[in-house]
Amino acid sequence: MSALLEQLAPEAALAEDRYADIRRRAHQRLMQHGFPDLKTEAWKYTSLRLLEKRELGSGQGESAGAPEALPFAADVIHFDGGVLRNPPAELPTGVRLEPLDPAELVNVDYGDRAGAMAWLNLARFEQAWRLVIESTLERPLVLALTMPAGFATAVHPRLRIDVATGAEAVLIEQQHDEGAGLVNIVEDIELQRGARLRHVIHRRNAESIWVQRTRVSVSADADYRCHALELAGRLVRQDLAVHLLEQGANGEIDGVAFIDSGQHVDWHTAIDHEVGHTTSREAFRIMADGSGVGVFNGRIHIQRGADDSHSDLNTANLLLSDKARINIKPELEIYAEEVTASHGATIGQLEDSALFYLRTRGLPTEDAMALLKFGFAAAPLETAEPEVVRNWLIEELQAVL
Amino acid sequence: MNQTAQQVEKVIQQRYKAGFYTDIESDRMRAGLDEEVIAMISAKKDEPEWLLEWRLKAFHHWQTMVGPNWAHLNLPPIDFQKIHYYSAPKQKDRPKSLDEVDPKLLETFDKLGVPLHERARLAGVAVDAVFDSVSVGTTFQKELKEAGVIFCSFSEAVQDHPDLVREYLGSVVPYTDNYFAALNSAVFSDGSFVYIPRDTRCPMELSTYFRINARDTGQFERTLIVAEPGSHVSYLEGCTAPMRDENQLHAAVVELVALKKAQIKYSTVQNWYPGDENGKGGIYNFVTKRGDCREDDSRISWTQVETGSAITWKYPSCVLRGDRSAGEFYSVALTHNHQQADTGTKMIHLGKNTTSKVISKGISAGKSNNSYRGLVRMARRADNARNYTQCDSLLIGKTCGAHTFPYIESSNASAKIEHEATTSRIGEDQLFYCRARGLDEEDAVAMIVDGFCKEVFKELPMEFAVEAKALLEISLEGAVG
Amino acid sequence: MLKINNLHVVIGDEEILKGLDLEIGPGELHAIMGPNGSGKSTLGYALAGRDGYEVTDGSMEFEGEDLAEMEPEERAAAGLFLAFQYPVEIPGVNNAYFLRSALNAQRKARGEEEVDSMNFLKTVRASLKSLKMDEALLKRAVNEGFSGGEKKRNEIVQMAVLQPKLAVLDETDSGLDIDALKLVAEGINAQRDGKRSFLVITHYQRLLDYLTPDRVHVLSDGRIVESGGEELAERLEAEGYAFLEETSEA
Repeated sequence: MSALLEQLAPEAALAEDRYADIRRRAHQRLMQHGFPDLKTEAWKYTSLRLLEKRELGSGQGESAGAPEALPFAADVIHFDGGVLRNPPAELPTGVRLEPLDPAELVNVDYGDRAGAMAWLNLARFEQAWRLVIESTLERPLVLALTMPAGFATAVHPRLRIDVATGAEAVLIEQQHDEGAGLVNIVEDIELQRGARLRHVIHRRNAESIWVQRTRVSVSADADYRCHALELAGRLVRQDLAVHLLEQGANGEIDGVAFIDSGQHVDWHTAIDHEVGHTTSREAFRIMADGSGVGVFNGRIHIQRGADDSHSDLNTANLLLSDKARINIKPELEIYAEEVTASHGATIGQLEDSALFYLRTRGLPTEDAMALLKFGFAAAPLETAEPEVVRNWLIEELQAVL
Repeated sequence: MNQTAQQVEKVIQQRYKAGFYTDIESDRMRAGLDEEVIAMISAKKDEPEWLLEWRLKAFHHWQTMVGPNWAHLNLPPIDFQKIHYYSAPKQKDRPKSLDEVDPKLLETFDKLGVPLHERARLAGVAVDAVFDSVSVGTTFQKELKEAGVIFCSFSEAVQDHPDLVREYLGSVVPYTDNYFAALNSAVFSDGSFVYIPRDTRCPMELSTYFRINARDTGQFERTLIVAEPGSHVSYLEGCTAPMRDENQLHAAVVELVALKKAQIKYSTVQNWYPGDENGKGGIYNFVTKRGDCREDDSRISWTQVETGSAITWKYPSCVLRGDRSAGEFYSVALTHNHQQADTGTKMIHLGKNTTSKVISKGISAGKSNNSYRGLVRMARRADNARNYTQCDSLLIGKTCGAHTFPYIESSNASAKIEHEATTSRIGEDQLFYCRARGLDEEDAVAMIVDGFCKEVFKELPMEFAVEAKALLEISLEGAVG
Repeated sequence: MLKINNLHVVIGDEEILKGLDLEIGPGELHAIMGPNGSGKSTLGYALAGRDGYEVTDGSMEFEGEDLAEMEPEERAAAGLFLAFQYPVEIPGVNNAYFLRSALNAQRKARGEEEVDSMNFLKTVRASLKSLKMDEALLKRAVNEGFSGGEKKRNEIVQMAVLQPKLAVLDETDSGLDIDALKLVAEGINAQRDGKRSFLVITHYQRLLDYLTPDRVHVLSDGRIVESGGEELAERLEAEGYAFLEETSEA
């Protein structure tokens, strides 16, 4: 992997801006640890060798043009080609966008090689933004990140999102990549006391390698809910860690990934109950067709003293073809006593009896299969709010089935 | 009110009952590990050359390896040069019958409740007893011989059945498999060998008792069971050690081979010394157990009750190679005080229509950490393979940890895998209900834990089930506090 | 309508139907009774075309067409309906959506226009109401979380909406209390228009009390061993299936 280090992180090319010290530290850590390989537990099922094989050009990506229109009213901030080219002239009431203060980055730690991509981001990010949602938003806020067909370089977007005390928002990450480069995102989301965030990730990629690390901190009585529709790409790795920091915090993740030939998707989620009287729930589903590979690692961690925490994780997965593969690892790590924590996991296929039942009602095999797949995959999206967003996600899912 | 916890803790503080030491003269090799020591072990046993070569190959391979670091264990470094790799009770010659065995030895096993003499006859269980590095005697030789069953110490098997040993040794767990398997392959001193001929149902339960007695001694036994087509065998294994302040290493290898339609049932009650309530002493238990369902319609079932050891690192596994072969794993693992356990199973489905079932019950008390780690893999050819896994954890007290790490991998679109896991505590309401019906707290806890483990206990042969239940009660004394 | 001639059906290595003959004319309601294991459900599945139910001999003609040559959905589009003994749960697929998809697929196969959603909903609502089922069921997943009785009634709702030419009802009465049984019977009777035919497979007489069958057949060991009018059902109820042995000996 040393070739990869040279290619992706030539020290001389580090930007000499106001983040320069931070970049140098990150670069050193990256050089010290190197990139993960299949022996790195967190990367056991996903290899970055593809990255090594690819010769990524340097320089910023091109503009990708406007993001796809959404079937509902929303405010859009467009990261065109991975960067914010022109700060929006007008932001909705209650939203502030500003460059991230370097002081916020001085003490970040991504650990050893498992965190290499985040170190890489910290050394190389083009821009670092802080988005503050100060009060309840009237309509969904869309962070559109689009990459054009000719994209063949690397971008390292970095974003910090704060949802202020008592504020409520629907935040949609609309990610669409038609290129063949590297998108390496780090985002940190903080929910202050009593805040509510409906976080939607809608992603559809082509040949790019897409690595995203999302860390969510949830304060007292705040409520974080994520709905993800992963329509995959050549290689996608999403880390989503939800930290329940204070009593009354709730975290929920509902996701579905549809993976087809030539695609590899790896979702690593972690819900960390740092104190007691916190709750979480997760439901994640993968459908793998063709030669697609799906990986899901879902961790529930209840720390010492976090009594009266409750957590449940469920993952159901469908293998639709003989060449597809699914690897899953639901984990429980429990150090407190008065808790309930459980997980259930299945890997299987469409039920023959259900298929037959539908056919006796007159549905041709193909329609019956599509209906069963849809029924399977739509479940996690049924809880998305508001309704317009839910309907949009479900239609998007239907479109690929 | 946390009276519950307090009372359970009170119940649990009892002493390790197998913790005595037998003062017996022993023949012990110098400490340290090198080619010379390996050659000396081999020479002591008068081994053929090929076996010495195999040991040395394993040793050289081991030297290139590093210990596993992925388990959820806090593992202090082990100084392999301080360990004695061979220790045997002094005897003039190999005893020809149990009557020639040193009475002190027999007394030891008697104290442990191991039926070597009359009781063995009553119980109808054939026993091989391994004391430190060597087997001290095997009962029921005559009866077994009549049935064509071979049940003897590993050393005897090397002398008397070298072809069988050579054919199967390392065929399930090659010496390259992992760090501790490589170490064992280099220095193993004894163990048990079982061979069940074609279409034979072994006339009685076979059992081996392992006892570590001497100080600074590691125990590296090796068990090999070969079940020819259509045969059946049930095998039991028990382990104990004296209470000592220092840690002792136990690194065993168990290989099972089931040929066409053969069935092997392997049960373990592991009660190595777990260390004291401050975490001092205890056995480090690093064991590689694997069964190979090599041919069609074979079946291997593992049942284990683990209450001992300071550290347990153990994953009895099944390689389901033959079509329609079946693997089972039933486990109760209890940790208390500072014990650490990282245990589970691997079910590797290679053949078509293979099935596996995993039932794991973890109980954590005190400051212990108890992890289930399991792998279910459906290979591309494993059409219609099925797995069902249930792992439940029970927490007693606020300072322990219970963890579940299942790896679930499927490459076959007709295979089905189901996995469920729960973590909970003994409910106040359950305890209260029992007490309101007149049970004291201790009995109530014992009863609830017994209920929690029922699914596993029912897989054990009767005598073992009783022992396992009692062991669990003793191990849990003082856990509620 | 339906003509079954010397039907042999094998599941795996075992022959279940061993030369079954049955003919049902338009507008007729036939009942098939028989002890457990006699092959009743096998007949239903064979008619609907379930995988693994291999026809080794004989024929099944539905309106002159050879059923064995048709896929399950083609049989449905041709007008054959099987009410399942154990209706299948389909998580995530909403009942109304499912039923409309099925209806439109059948209409499309027959070269008919798709049904508009207003009319569709009207029909469904009326059926639900007549079977005393909650409209909220429409929004729930197919059969998921339904009680046993709800599942059975849901089959009758589907039958009412899909309007088949021949409905095969496989033990639709089992597990129903007397009120639900009456509702199901009313649902069936409401569909009897002189053209539509029914094959009611049942273990007990009690459903037949409300249906007045044209013919009753007794299935035993894979063959029809006795046929008659309603009185046969009463006799079975009174004497049990034991008399079959005498019959076969006789």
